[in-house]
Amino acid sequence: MSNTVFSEDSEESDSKVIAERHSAQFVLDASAVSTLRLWLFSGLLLPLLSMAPLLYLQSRRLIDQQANWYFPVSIALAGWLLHGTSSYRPTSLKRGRVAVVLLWIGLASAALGIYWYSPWIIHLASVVVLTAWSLAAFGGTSWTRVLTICSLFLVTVPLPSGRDAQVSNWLQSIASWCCNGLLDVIRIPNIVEGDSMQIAESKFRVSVACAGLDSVFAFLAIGIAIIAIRRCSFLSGLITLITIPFFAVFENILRLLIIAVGLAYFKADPSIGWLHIGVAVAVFIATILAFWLTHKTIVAILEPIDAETERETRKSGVIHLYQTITQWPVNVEGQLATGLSIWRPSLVALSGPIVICLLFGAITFYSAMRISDRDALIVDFGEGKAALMPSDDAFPEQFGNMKKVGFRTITQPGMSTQGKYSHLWRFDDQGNKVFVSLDFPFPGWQPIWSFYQSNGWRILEIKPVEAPENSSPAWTVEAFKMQNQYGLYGYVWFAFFDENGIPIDRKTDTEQLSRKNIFERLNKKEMPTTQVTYQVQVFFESGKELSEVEAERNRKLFFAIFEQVRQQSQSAMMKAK
Amino acid sequence: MLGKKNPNPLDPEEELDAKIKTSWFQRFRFSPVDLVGEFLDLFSSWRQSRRWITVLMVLPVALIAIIIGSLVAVGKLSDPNVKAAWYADRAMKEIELANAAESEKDTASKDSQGTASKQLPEFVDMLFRRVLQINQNNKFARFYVAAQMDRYGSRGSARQIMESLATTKTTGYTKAHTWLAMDLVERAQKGEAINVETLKYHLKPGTSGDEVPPSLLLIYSQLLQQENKTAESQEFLKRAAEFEPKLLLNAIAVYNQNSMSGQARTTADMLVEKLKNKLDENEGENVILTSQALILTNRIKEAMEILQKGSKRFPNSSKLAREYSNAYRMSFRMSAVRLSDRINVNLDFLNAAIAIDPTNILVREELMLFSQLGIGQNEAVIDSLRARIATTGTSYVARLLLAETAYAKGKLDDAINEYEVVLAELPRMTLALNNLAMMYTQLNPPKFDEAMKLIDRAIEATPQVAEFHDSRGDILMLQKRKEDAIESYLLALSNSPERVATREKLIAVYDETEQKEKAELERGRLEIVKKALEEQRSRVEQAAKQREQSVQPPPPAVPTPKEQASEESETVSTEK
Repeated sequence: MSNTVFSEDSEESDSKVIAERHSAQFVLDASAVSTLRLWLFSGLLLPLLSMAPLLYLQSRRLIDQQANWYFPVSIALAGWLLHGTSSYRPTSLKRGRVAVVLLWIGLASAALGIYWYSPWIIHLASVVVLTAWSLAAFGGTSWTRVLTICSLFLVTVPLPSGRDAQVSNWLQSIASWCCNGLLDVIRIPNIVEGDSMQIAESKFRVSVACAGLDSVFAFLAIGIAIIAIRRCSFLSGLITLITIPFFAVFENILRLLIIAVGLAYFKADPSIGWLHIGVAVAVFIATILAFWLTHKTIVAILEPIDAETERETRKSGVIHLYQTITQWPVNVEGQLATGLSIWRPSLVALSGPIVICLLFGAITFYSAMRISDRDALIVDFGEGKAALMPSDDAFPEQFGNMKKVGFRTITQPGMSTQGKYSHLWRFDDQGNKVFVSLDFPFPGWQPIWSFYQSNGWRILEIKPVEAPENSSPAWTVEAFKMQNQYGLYGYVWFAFFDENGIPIDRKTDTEQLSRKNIFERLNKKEMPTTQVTYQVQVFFESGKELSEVEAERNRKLFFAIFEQVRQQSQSAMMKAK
Repeated sequence: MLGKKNPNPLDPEEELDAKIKTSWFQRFRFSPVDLVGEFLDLFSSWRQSRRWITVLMVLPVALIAIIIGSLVAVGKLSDPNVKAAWYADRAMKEIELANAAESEKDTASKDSQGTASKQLPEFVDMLFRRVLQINQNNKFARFYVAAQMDRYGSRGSARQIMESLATTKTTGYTKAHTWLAMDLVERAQKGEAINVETLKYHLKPGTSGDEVPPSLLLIYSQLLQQENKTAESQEFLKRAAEFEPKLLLNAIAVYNQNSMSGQARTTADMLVEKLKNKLDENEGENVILTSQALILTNRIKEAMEILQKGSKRFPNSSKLAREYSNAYRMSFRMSAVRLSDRINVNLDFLNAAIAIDPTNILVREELMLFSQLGIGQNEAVIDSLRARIATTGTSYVARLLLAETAYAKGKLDDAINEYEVVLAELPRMTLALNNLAMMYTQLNPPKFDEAMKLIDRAIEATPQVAEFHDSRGDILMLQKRKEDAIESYLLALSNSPERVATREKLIAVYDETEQKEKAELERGRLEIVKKALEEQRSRVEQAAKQREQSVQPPPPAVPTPKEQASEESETVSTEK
């Protein structure tokens, strides 16, 4: 174990080390070159190629989301760090074996991903494969550094079941909560209601106002990149990463504060348009600068004691412990194996992964031709088609006892959990508001209450509703009751229908689809036949809890509305075809 | 160094080398004193080897973070009641500003009748929602949030929140009672059946506040009057008049209907007194209100004086001119004196009524009275009318009567001649325009173009009079322009849906043009109108019977002897 000396210019010493490792002094022999080539083919290219169709589906899923801008940057940066600053050398026997084990783990994950036809698992498997390959390919670089760089690939894997969006929303809610208190103190009247914030007469969505460059995961990628570039110790790196949520919140507070001040004092609205983009970029740069300074401070505080002082105190166990902790893993050198200790896998030894990858490749490419995008829960919907869907004249001025009072359409910038397009009719039902919304496109049946929760409603009860008698096949209608902070009650009824106008049953759709394995999908056994689903939701507002009779009336009204929208949509879809 | 000194000093380099060869665990000293010493050594070495400039660079970031964190903490830990009070104060200031801006707008806009509902800015709504967010039990904020919901079209939800603020079991927030009472009144006006007891319940606390709509005070006053609580009723009436003096006219009318002439006169005096110094304001509206109060309490002469002065002050006010004209009509009626063999009337009053407002179609009622009295058959009267025209030069009434008489006798040219003379002097006399237009259609050959021009002039002068649209429809029918005629009949019915004759004509045209569905629809409507008119007639008859049975003496329908005497002395001519 070497006692690396840290001086004022630790980065300079780092670059010297890198230069040394890349110097011509180390010459690869022919055997090492062939080993590395074989490993590149069997440990990286072939596995990735075998997973390519599902990786392509995953990239299509992620490409629509603005928050994922850092994915390509992350991958490019990891590539540059591995190739540009690391030593492409054969590794030791021990590390080579670990790499092979990791490759098998990656392939096992890929097998699972292919079996369940899950692009997300394949994404994760590809990161494991990349890490396994890097470990054995960059023998001149310490394993800790390889893992640090490979974690840049890992941050591109979104958390499952939309947990990443939940984390972002949670941090945004903390930011709006903090901003609410801050604005109260500086006497800017404001109100936060779920995801919505109002300053003066302007209302905006916190998620939209804070959207753009920032995301806690983007910050995480930037943090890892800084740690990898600066080659700082594990302790400094860990503390730097721990500060990331704080900076994500800090950045959102700053943005909300600028919006609030702009609206309250300058009659400018930085929550939309070019001003919004300008503020987003400026605040992002300022936050990154603050983050950089904080990181430098953490490193400065936790750097080892300098050599001269250390020599004086080397006899102290406490100081030695401190030195060890603050230097790890900077003091871990790459295992430049020589002679017999070099890992030299033969084609026979790697034939197992090669055969498996060929098999996987055959399965995934064959499946890609047989299984539709819909089966991978990916929807494609053009704006021209959206324009054909039912609009204002879908309902008469008087629908039952309800009087139509308005209609509008909403288009979300990217794919949204509320559907990219919404056609919204507003009714007056004897003094109570009723909203009818046709939202589309969706990849299947999905719950909608999170939208209301983000708007300040508290869900009191969710229950399935009996579909009208004689409806075949069975379909699902759900209703939920909620209450907001003003004591108002909201009752929402919703159901889905497909491109043929057939109402959708929750049990036979998404949930079941996500549980279907590749063989069932290939056999098209009980598979949905459509690409896109449409959601009809009806929101009834009431100042009091509805009685049984009133609830029954609303139930009937919902079915009448659903039928009206479904029929109108069906004819629009026929036109589109 | 702060470490414990070795009692047997060796060569320091040797000692150090010896130490380095041992592992860090072996070097660890477990004696508390040694451990403290080593930590102090660590701290000292750590401090010496830091790059403090780099550490200090983070200070601005830390400072900003501390400031923001502290402000957030202060904001979140401050007393919610203080915060809610600040928001409520701010909301009230905004309301005051909005009200001030609205008053300025009202003053600037001459057309404003002050009936525009108060549209509070969305900002105020937000402030109240925030108050409610901080303190959900704040009734004041709950009320405003509910009121705002009502403005945004959630009347039902607003009602339910108001009911939670003012239940029918316990007296609650006054403003909520006021709102609920107003809501009940509006629902009743729309034809919805409401519970009067609930209305009374909400009115009692609801009318105790400062900002009570005058119409609500009037309604409560009337309800109290029905319960014979006259004193309380008067009190509310006075309060209503503070805001809306016009409402006192309704009260006077109600008193008159119930033969309570004393109360009617007191209320009228209240109104007159209130507007006494404001007759120059409000574009003559105050003059009209004062005169109406006086007319309703049979003080025509005083009303005429005020109207005369008002007409000079506001010569362009058509409403004032109509009021003045009607006052003359009333004077004409009151000038009628029944003698043994004849009835004397003062025609000058009617002439003045026509001259002041030639578009006053109500003059026709007085002219019809002459027809009913059989003036057309009495040659002596006709002669006296002619004599009157010869002596005075002009008398619109005389000419109109002569025209009617000539028409009744089939002398169309004579009738046309009389109307043309009247129109030469009063080109906007709508009644003459209408009658002459209809006569032109009866000529041989008919003068349809001239007739259309005349009726269009009448419609231009008073577009709201259904009679003229009906006449236009008739002219068009004679020209076989059936679709245009339908349009005119529909216009007439849109102004007066109760016109049975017009609707019958419309049905006939629909039948002729084979628009069966529309004809059927109109037949249905005609039935409804006839039924409604029948019901109204029976109600009027019933009310008349009740009045006859009433023990109350009739109100003084004629002026006092003194007033009568002075009026007679001013009478210029009396004709049979």
